[in-house]
Amino acid sequence: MLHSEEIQIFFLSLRVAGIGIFICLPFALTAGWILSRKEFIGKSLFDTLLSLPLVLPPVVTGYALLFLFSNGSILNRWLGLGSINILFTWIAAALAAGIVSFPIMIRSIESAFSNVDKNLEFVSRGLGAGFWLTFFKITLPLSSKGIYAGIILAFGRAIGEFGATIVVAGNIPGKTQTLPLAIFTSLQIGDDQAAIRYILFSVLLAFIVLISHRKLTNN
Amino acid sequence: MEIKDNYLEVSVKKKTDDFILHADVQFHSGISAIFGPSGSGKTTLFNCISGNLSPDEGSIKAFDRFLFSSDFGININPEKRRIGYVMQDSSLFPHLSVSENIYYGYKYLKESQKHIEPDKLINLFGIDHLMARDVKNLSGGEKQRVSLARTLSSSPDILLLDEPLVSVDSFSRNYILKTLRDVHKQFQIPIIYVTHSFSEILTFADYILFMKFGKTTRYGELRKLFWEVEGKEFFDNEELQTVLEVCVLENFIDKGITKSSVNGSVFSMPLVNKPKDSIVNIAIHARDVILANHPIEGISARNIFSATITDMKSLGRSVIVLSDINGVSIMSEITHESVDSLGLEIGDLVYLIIKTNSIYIQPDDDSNL
Repeated sequence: MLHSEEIQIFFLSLRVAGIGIFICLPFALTAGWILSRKEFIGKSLFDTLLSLPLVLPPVVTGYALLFLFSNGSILNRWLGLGSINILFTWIAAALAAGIVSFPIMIRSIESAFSNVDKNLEFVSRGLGAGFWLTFFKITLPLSSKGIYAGIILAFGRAIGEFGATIVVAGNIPGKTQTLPLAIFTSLQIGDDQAAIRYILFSVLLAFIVLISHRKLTNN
Repeated sequence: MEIKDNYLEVSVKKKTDDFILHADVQFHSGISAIFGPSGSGKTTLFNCISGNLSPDEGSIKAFDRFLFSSDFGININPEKRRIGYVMQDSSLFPHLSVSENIYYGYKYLKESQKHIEPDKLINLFGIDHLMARDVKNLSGGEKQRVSLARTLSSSPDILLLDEPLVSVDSFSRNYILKTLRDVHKQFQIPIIYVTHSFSEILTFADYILFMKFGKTTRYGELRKLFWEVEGKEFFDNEELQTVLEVCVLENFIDKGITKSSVNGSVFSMPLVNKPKDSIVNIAIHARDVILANHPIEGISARNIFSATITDMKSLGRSVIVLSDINGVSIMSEITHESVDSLGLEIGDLVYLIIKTNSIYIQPDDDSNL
């Protein structure tokens, strides 16, 4: 039987990954659109910067977030957070998960947008629909499958996020302890049975993610 | 409302990867055809007019409103230009039904801008029965009819057509051309039309614009400039034909013929079984029209008209002769040898001989499309 603690970890993980993706989605849509539609000087640099979290050790990404959101940091002040500290909360864990899976989302969204026939967008504008109407009525519906596929894959990556999370959100049971952190802790304290249950959860989730991704990208 | 002359003034330069477009032209009311070899800048010109591309310099003015001007820093967004643009491939929105496609632009119009009701267009283009269909299951001709209806539903001020009939079979093509002429008459929309088809230019256009190497070279009345076309540039095995609208006079069911008339000339053609006074489209292939320089008696062909040669042009191995019967222009294609031995010249009186069975009747409803 599942312990209430395990159920809590399960739902916290879903929430952290979900909110993380949700926060990053508008940025990923914007970046994906720019990469698929615009040519400009420094585009490859832009592309590289956005892909950085994919290859950087997640611990480094975590450290960068730690630095950015530390008390009195420029970003903290700019966001008007004042003394509110998001570090070591589930929100920090969500941010970490979102940012680490950001490059995966961008890749899928960029290719989904690239596959939309630009003539159709142009025809739509010629018919009197402005830029945003065209985006929401033509571009988005025609690329929705690819975007969903990207979101799902990024979600899978976000669920598994460990390195950046432990740096920026810690490993606080009931607060920031997500599935991978719980596995780590159980193994550390030698609770193999709990570890295996968490691992089975993870494998199940991974299966669901990959099967849905496959369904969306086929045909 | 009469379309103003010079409704569209274009004077632009645009450098693209392979050439420089240098367009300088003022379009007259009516239907203008653009003719030029591929790669001569026709599509680039359309893209500049419609706002898909921004010219490097110059100006585009439609109905006295600047759409683009490098001097004044004006570049109107495509959605505000009111230019209808139909491309070679119909570019229908694949995720929408036929009906949603047609109403797409109409939805975004202000009430005061709704000059053309989609219902009327659906009727004109004969696509009522397609409305609930998925656009993926349409034939080439159906797609273009839907695309034209969609574009016209947005009540554009000007209609640009970039070889819209390339992937359409010939019966559909004539039906669409006829509908476009009706649309042009009914809604007074000027049309600019890119095509490589000789017959299409002849039967459809009032004016012709020549383009070469990215430059607009000449623009003027088709009748005056028509023969400047270098035949082989686009005369690729196309069957030249004269398309006429005739009016049914009488059906002779026992004889299997119908008599019809256009401008007072009576044609004998295969039986159509349509009531008196109905309008029928017929096509006569240029190589089926025989010329004689004196009246001939005792011949099986039923259509013999006296006509005046208005123009002659050598096209490869043939000579195309345009003759006028009571204001109706008919094309015939004969050999150089015939021209020489008959001593034909422009202005000569000749007799045109056409067999009843050489007149093709084109379906003008959609039952065969």
